[in-house]
Amino acid sequence: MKLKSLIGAALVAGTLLSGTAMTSMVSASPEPSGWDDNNDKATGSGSDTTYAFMQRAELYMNQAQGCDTDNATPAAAPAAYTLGDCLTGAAQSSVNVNGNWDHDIFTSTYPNGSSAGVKALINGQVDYARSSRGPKSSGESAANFWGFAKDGLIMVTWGNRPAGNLTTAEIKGIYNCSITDWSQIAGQAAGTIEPVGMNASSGTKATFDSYLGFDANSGACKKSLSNGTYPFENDLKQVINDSVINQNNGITWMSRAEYVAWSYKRQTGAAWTVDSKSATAGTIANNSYPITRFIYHVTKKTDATAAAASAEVTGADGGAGGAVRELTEFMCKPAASHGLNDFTGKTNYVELTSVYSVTGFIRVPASEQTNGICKLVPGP
Amino acid sequence: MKPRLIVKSLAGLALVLGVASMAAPAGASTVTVTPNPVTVTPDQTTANVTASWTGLAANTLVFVDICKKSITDATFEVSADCGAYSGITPNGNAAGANSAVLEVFRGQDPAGESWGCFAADDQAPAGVTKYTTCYVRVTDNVVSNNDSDSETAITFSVSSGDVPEAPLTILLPVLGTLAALGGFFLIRRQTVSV
Repeated sequence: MKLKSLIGAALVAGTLLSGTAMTSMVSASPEPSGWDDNNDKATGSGSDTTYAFMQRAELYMNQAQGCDTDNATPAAAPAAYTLGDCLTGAAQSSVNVNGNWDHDIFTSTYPNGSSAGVKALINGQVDYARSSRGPKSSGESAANFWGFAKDGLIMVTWGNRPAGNLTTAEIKGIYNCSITDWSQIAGQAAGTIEPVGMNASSGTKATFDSYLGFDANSGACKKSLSNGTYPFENDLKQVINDSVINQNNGITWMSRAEYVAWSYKRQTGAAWTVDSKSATAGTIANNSYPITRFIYHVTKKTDATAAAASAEVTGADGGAGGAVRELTEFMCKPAASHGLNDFTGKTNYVELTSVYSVTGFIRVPASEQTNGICKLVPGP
Repeated sequence: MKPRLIVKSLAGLALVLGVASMAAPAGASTVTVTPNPVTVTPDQTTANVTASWTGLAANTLVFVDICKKSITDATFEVSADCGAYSGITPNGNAAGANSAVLEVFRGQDPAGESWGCFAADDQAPAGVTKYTTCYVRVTDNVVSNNDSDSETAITFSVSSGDVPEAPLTILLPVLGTLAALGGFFLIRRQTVSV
């Protein structure tokens, strides 16, 4: 029997037996869940773009309220180790099911790219993945992509190249090498354009390739770093400090969220308008900016899934998979379903709002939400 | 002057200059919004205004946001008190002073949070907190930078309606009366001449 059901049954029985006023506790009868009373550990890997967000979201999930824990001094034998697990039976008095009942533990590993992270998830090497791109047309059918945020891609120059406007046709022309000199762009002084490529595992590159309609690294004019590799996404330090790339003639693209959130990554980069639109939260939300994307938390379908239009996440009912199911629901449920954070006194919805603000992302607009406050895209 | 005395004098001068520079106010930026009050028609829910700022860091990204709470409020938090969809982030310039067009909203926060900026006589939807004074805040580098931010309060002024309709309501009865009188006198004149 599921843990929450057990708790609910215990509360009902207690009420019937004692006849005391436990009505309010019974009314909080827990839903079916991925909880199993154990402190399960779940690990995620993948995207650089979403690393900072997920680290902070995991912090609030790890801190979220839940069961009363077994705090007795552990016995010597490891097999008997129950420190921190949920108390059971009559010893359990908590009815808080809006946070992290099991006090499961979530950790994001250092970034290694969206595609590598999703592959590791499908291989069973990690429990969830971070992706800054949607599912591929094949090979990822076992995964659910939970869009929890929106972002845009911006075109960036640095050095003394003043930011202006680029049309979509001009961006394509720069990366297919049919536009090779800045004098071909309105208002710009002459200079050979140096379009910088990006590491192939990056979701940010996959999104840009999709926008271009071809591989951004394929043009003969594209530039890589002096060591022959392509730079890691969303970090201008590499290109600004590189000896091969002309500082006044280079151009690249990056996450708008990372650009506004992290000045150390942004360095002296300046954002261009695209098709005369600035990349703002508003133009990304309403899709009037030309290059927008969703940002995803990726799970195995067997661990976390949902019926159409439902905020209730179903799937695994214990272990690391159950933990991932609960993390997914934590990220995708609306404000009213969140509990308080014991350290700040704010709701975890408010805390997550601060995470969006700090990391530069915006929540999925209501018109694009499919499940709770997320947009679920199953791998085809 | 002995070298040791010169060194001491220079050190003293440096100390004085250092203290003087430290004494300068930290958040010396300003922001203005034009027009303000923001004039809107009865059905208008957004309006473009010009936000102009000075005193921000040179060549540093600028953040312009619409907030429900003043930065002077000790509980102000940009993530909770400013609109998530309504801000803009123009590139900075060498002067640290520039202007940009900002679309301000009248009604519920476009991100769907339970607050909004309203004209005095507006009715806020159920569950939405009505603010008749909102704030345009500017800062630089990162949106959470409270060291160099500044703000200006904004309000909405609702115009009485479309301008052409008012004269017509006067002109039409006047013209009608004149036409009737003209017709009356014309008929009377014809009758007399017969």
